[in-house]
Amino acid sequence: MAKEAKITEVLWEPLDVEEKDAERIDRPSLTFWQDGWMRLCRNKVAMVSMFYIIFIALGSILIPFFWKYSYEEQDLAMANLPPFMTTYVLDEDTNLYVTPQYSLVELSSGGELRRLVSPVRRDMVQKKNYYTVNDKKVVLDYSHYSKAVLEFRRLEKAAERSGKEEVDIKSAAFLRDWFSNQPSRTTISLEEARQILEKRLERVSLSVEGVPLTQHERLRNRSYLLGTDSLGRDLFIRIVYGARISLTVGVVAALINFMVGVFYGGIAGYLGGRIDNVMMRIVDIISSIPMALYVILIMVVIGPGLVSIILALGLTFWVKMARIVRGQVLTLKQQEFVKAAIVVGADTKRIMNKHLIPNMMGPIMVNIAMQIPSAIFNEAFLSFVGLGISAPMASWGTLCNDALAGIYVYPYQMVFPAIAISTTIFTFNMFSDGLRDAFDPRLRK
Amino acid sequence: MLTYIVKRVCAALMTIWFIMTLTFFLMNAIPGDPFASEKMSDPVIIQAIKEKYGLDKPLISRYFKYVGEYLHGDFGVSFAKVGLSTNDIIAAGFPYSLRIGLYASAMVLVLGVFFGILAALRQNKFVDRLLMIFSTLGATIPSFVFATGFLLLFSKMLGWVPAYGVGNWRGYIGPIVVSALFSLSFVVRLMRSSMLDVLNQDYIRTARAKGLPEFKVLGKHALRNAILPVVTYIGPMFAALITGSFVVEKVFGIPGIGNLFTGSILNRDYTMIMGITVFFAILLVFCVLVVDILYVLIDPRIKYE
Amino acid sequence: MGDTLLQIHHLHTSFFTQLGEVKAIRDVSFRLDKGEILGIVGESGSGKSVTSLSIMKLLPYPGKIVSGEILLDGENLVSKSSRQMRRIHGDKIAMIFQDPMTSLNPLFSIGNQIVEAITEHQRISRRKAVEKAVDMLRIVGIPSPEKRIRSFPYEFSGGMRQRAMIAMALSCEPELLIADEPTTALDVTIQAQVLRLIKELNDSLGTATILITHNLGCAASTCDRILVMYGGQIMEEAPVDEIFYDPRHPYTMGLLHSIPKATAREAQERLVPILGTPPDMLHPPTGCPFYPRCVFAMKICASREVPEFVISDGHRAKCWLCHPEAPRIEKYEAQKGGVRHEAAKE
Repeated sequence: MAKEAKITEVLWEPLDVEEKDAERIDRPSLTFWQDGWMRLCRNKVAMVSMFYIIFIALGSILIPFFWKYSYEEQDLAMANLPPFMTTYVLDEDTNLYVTPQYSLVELSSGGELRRLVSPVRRDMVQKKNYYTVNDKKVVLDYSHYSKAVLEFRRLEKAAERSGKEEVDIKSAAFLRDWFSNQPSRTTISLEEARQILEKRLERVSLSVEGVPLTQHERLRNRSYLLGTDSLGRDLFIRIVYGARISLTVGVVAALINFMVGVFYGGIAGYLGGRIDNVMMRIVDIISSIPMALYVILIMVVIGPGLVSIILALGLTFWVKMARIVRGQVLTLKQQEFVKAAIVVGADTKRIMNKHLIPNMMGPIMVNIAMQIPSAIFNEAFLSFVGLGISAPMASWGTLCNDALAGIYVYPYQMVFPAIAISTTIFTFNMFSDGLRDAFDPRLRK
Repeated sequence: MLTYIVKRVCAALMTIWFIMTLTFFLMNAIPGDPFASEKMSDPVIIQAIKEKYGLDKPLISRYFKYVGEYLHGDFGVSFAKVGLSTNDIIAAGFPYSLRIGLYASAMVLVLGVFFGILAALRQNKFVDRLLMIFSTLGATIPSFVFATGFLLLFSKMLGWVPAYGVGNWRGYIGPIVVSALFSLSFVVRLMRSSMLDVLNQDYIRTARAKGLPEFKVLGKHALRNAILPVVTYIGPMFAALITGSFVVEKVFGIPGIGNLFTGSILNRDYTMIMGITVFFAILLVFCVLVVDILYVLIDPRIKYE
Repeated sequence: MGDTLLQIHHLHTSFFTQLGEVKAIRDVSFRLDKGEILGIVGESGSGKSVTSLSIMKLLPYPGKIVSGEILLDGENLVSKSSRQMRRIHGDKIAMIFQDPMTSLNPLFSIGNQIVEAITEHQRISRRKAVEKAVDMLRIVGIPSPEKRIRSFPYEFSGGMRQRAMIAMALSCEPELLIADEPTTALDVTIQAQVLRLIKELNDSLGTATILITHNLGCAASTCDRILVMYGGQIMEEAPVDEIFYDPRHPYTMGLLHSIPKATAREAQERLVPILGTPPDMLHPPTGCPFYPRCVFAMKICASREVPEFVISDGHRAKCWLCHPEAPRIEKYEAQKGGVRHEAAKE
């Protein structure tokens, strides 16, 4: 006590009321929505996802209006052309591209497609095609590869018979040429030979007026941003249209889920008892039937198309929403404030609207947000399987389905729709996770 | 305990019966029949075929005949693949889906529980965040994206697996991994959140207050409680995995029953559809039954209700 | 009583949250003798539970002991590692918690959980451990313990569950039992039974006990000494009689007046709640933590940290009113019909 300052008379006087209250810290109270919105904004991942979704939605609406192609325009001559092409330089403003089917495409040196060049003559025996491009004679020789394939087959059979894994380099011309600068090597494993055949060998060779073309140039396809599909349709605009379809399906299906689910679940939960039991049993049974059957049924009755997909999706996943709503209603029914309202004499409808529904909005909203990507996922899935919308409409699922056949040769046809689907569903999920964290933190996992 | 099992078995049988009936009537409610697209438009021939398959008899008598056959294990004869019985077709295709499903389920169980617990123990640290991102990817990206991506990467570019079919044992890797991905992601998240819930419980605090070593607190007290939701999920998941996914089977070229099912729907092959549906239902009900019994063995409170 | 079992010196514990450091306990010191029952009384947020969790070093994240000493039989627990603490848990110090339903693992039988505690600390065969467990259940008054040992927690009533918890805690014969609000979750009649059990066990087994509660009445019937905590600090410490008949801290006085009384004459007195809410421990007030709610608050209370004043042997209070120069007050009494109270100055 010696070090402390002296306690003066005034310190023993009572404390004024205001000085006591100074201790009270008042935090401004926010409404449920404000609080949630603030929390959402702080979530960077969710914000980025939200902007991406808005970007896609706007893009899918606006782009088709000013894009040069429509989603159904076909140009069979320009089919299966990738967005990036390895071309041969013919002269200063012409490049040539050889398709996997050994057709010749003429492009400008900037990358614009000019035409599919029809051969002047095809020599099936020698495996050569003769063209005239820009008054020059161009010869496309694909015999080399075919011969190599035959030789490899022979090697394979020989290896089978002898049981050996190694093959003689001298016994195949393509191997001889490949190892022409390595005279020391005499044998090679069958697997390695296969690798050379499939991956390293030049498939074709082009020559102009007898002189082989060697200058390669990698060009971006300036006529079609993402290339074309098997019917010569612009892949980019089809993906954009796919966005329209997928987003529409997602949102509308989720809304139907919401309405049916809330209605059914709300009633089941509110009425409780036996009715609730019966309703839930029905739900269990409905959900045990595979979705594919439903889709077929609806499609047969209404006919294939967008509407039936939406209906099918909307009517199969409301079950989850109904369960959630029912659970919420049951819990809330037990809460004190509902009992208080009943005691005061409020009638059923009023109770539902004023008390139950605002409190359930959190989980419901989150569930809607999660249903959208789920619907998009399912639509893509169904379309991929073949139960979706029909040609020439494009949904991401059908695009993937179309691309499946040629996936090894034209992987880009699958890659771009797949990226579109994946990023969209992923960002939707990130966003709905963010919503859930912001508005229903109890569920934070 | 015994009464519980008996009750569940009865409920299971009821469910199967119900699904059978429902499927039957649904199938017959669909306009159009397997012969609608057939080129033969001669009504006499169509009539003869209908007689052969008994399609001309009234609905109810067909229903009873159908139930009767099923009770004997006869799932009828396929319409589309003429001459083959549904049983045989299912028996030919099922082993592939079964094998893939078994390995995939094992993968999901072992990896899912392990990573789920790991994520829970390292909550919000790097490992956890990484696992959560991967599990989100696995759960949201459609399986056909994974399937085709897998093929492109491992078959085309690297050449490690065959492009098609399961002649080579390596052909199984792709289908197993891709089939397992979705469920694996789900189980990791489920296990993680369940573990986190449990670790916050009072009885974990009590266990620590008793001086139990951490591995016992986690391995005995926490694990048994946390694994319950996962056990519930495993039943239907297993049934789904062994019945095969159409996408996986199509992309990888597996002659399994997933393929068969969607194919028969597209072909309007009634007997196949019904046969496979009932088969699926039996599998599902059986798996759920096993899991329910397993659950009761772990959690004694259930009998109480 | 006997010699000292537990000594706490200037303990500070805080929770390091995203919003800042929440100072849950500030400069808490007290002593516990062997075989004593000490009551710690306070409202929610006063720091009483945090004190017990600090002693056990079972603070949940993000809690940490910032400074101070906890001496058990002379050994400082603050510096011990978790492995060392594990040997102490259950064996030297046992703890029971507020809600016995959630504090017991629902998936294992009571017997399993008790035997587990025994075998962890003592080298006896499993059969002997089971016998011991049955004995403990008998001691705490659970009927047919041989059968009940196989029961699951959900099969017990609330009171019995708490008894089972006590049996589990005492099964290794610890020197100290910490009971954190053991009766709060129970019915009033069961509360009395459990408190009586705790007192009996203290008599028969000689286990020192810290009883934490917000109910001064509970503490009164069971404890030898009482600590009153508020705002993370000890406001008053005294033997149980002195707390009731000679309280020196306005908070203690306030608590006493909020207890409903049983006798007819006393029942005429109005119940007087203490107005206001507990302080925000993120920004604790300077000076005495109680001054915003204290009827007698003086300017010095808001500006200077309050030292401890020794009232008599074993009775101390942390209040400026105990300072020799402080104004003398009349006994704090509720006026009939009025809720306002005035301090009479000298």
